[in-house]
Amino acid sequence: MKINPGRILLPLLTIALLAALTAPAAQAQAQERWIHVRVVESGDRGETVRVNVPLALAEAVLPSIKVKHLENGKLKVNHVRIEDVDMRAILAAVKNTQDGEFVTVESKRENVRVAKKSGYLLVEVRETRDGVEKERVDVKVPMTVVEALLSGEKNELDLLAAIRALSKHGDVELVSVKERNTTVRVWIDSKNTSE
Amino acid sequence: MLAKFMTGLFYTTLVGGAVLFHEGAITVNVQEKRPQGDHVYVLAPATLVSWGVKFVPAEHLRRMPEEARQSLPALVAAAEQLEKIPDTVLVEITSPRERVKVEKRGNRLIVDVDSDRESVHVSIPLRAVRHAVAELQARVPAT
Repeated sequence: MKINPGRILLPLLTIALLAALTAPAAQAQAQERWIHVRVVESGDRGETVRVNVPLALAEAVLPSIKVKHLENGKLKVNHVRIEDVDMRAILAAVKNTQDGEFVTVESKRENVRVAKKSGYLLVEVRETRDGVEKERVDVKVPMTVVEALLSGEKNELDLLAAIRALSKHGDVELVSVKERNTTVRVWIDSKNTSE
Repeated sequence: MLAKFMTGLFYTTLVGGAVLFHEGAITVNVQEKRPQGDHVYVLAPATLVSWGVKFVPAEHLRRMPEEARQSLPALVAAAEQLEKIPDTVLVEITSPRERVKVEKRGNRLIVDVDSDRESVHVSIPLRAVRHAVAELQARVPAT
């Protein structure tokens, strides 16, 4: 039986061409990083909010935003103080130290813990009332993002650099908040949906 | 003679329609849910938006609030980037009485609102948004 090489070559070439055309797009999509926000409010009037935004969009738009303290992706923060504590000085100190727990504040109603572990800055807040946990906040920020945030001038936070650092990071849950009727999640992955 | 005229009219309409709709069409569909509620359906060429910006009197553009003026570059950047991203639901809000969805599908930005009182569907070609905002940015005088 005679085999026509054209009958084999043509389908093979078609498959190769399709693979070549779709592979860059598939790769590009796989590399696209997305930030997702989900807020779920339970109860009769409960509301669910889902936001899915590619980090590339934030990266493209941020330099164009010019408001009072935000220009070219940099936020002027001459005095970032919480409870009279210089947050920029604390973050800079955390950046240069090894893993460990830095701040632990325990009060009757609230426990706050700030630690560095496995390349992440961790902030945990637990609020209790009558011995029952009412609110739980977990923040987990890659140290590379913290470093990028502090990479600018002394009186500014480089949000654009932080977003770029976040784009290069793996999947991570950045913020988790659990209250009585509300849960909030903010996370990064490479999917364009939050399902 | 009449046949030539009709042929010319046909091709003029075809070309004119292609020019008018080359950026796509904006659709707005609003349906009230009460008995015999109103139904509004608008289909308009998206080019009307960018062309319309060209005809806004300069004195009106001078009166544009500073905050709106400052947001124009961000809007252009956002529209450009939205054209590049894959199809996705950007924002979805669901409550017992209302559902709102903002979605990028194909080359369009689609807003759907479904509530007890009405359902609203708006579909805009992203390229038209970008062109219109860029045109506005070019025409707004610098402060």
